[in-house]
Amino acid sequence: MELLDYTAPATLDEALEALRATPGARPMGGGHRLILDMKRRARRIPLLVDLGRLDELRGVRRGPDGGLEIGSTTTIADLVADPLVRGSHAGGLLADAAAAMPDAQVRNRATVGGAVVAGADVAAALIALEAGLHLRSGGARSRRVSVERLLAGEGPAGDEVIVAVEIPATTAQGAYERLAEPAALSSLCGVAVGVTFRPGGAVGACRVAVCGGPGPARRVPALEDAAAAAPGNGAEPRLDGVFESDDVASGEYRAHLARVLTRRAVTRARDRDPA
Amino acid sequence: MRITLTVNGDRVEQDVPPNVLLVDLLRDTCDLTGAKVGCDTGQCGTCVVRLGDRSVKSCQMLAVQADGAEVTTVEGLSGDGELTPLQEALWEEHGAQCGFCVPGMVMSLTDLLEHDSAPDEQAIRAGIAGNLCRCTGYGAVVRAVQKAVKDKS
Ligand SMILES: Cc1cc2nc3c(=O)[nH]c(=O)nc-3n(C[C@@H](O)[C@@H](O)[C@H](O)COP(=O)(O)OP(=O)(O)OC[C@H]3O[C@@H](n4cnc5c(N)ncnc54)[C@H](O)[C@@H]3O)c2cc1C
Ligand code: FES
Ligand code: FES
Repeated sequence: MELLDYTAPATLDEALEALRATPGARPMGGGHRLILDMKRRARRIPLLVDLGRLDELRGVRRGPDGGLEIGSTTTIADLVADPLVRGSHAGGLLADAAAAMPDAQVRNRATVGGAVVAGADVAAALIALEAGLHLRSGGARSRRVSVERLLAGEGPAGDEVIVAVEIPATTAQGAYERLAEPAALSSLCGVAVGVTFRPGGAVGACRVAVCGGPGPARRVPALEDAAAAAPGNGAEPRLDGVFESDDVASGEYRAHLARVLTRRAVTRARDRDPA
Repeated sequence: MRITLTVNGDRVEQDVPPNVLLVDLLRDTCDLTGAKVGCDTGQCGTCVVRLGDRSVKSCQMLAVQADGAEVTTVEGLSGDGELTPLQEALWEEHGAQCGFCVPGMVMSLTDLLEHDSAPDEQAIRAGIAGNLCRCTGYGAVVRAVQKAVKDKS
């Protein structure tokens, strides 16, 4: 495993400075992706900047506008156990998505920031929840961008650190459904929905994000329109080219799964709806 | 890099290069060979140890990440030659054949029982979702945990 140097700064400013000073340096959350990548020699990292000692980046707080502010190094296990998260509209959806991670040991180490960058199940859930990110980099630079936009683009810059994930307060209800690939247990296709229901249970607004396959988690407007159409009223959503093929599944098969899983997720969200 | 950690109650101070895995530090430097490297890719769970109060896969962690931490391996669960009630139950229910997976199973299940004193079958199975066994299978392991829970209550 190639790793030249490691540092575990005690403050965020020191971490940002270390990332700026060494080209190619990477921030590390739990390391559950990075260490695998280094073992496979998929990357050569001159300096790992471990965010694990930054208490300021860990934990869940209530944000100023009533939403949730989740520190980026909060582990997935702590996220889904947090009383603020469990008591919010995001609790059910995040618990569903976290359960897609392979086991308790991975959830005990993998962080929310790492899960955003990984762009898989938890990232899809965050997109359905309209989550935003607060990023910082050296020289006191700071920006805000949605998870959706970050993953649609290049991801964080090399010297940028995700400080927090921000979930706005809404009344939408969420749920996540997926089909796992039997050998590796990663999601062939996963669908996260955030839905508001009208009195009587009809779908009002619906956000749908999918993951699985080569690309990162993303929104799929055609599935949103189909979910919002009255039952029996909409034609099957057209998903040509939305899903890619790889050596485990064809894009067509993933598109079929996405239609089925969206219906299941909306049903599950409806069962959770308190109204 | 110089790190200091507690392993099974003993203080360990050691110079380690940053690319050394926690499991290798435990096996090669501390001579604790309970945790094993089955897959090296985070899938099999033979390397599970306790870090603080949570079980982790020590093949997916750098030793330097454990600086300052308290680590417990299967050797540290009870006194020399003694078994915990969970280990006793695994013995009685034939929860081990070759035994390669057992230290990891024991560490994952110890964590489960510490956070949930009466897990149902589904919770027990979820608790060993990250542990692969190639010979015993999982039925005997599940029965052993159920026995350990029943004996305690
Ligand atoms: C065997 C195995 C199977 C897994 N299967 C799944 C699965 O099916 N689905 C799933 O979702 N996850 C799975 N995971 C978990 C893992 O791959 C990631 O999803 C996990 O969330 C990574 O989190 P981390 O904190 O360990 O990331 P790290 O490995 O620390 O980092 C991953 C990437 O994110 C960047 N990064 C991390 N934190 C920040 C931050 N705060 N700011 C900026 N950049 C950051 C790093 O630079 C790196 O590029 C699996 C892990 C293992 C070991
Ligand atoms: S050796 Fe760590 S999970 Fe297999
Ligand atoms: S007893 Fe042999 S691998 Fe489990």
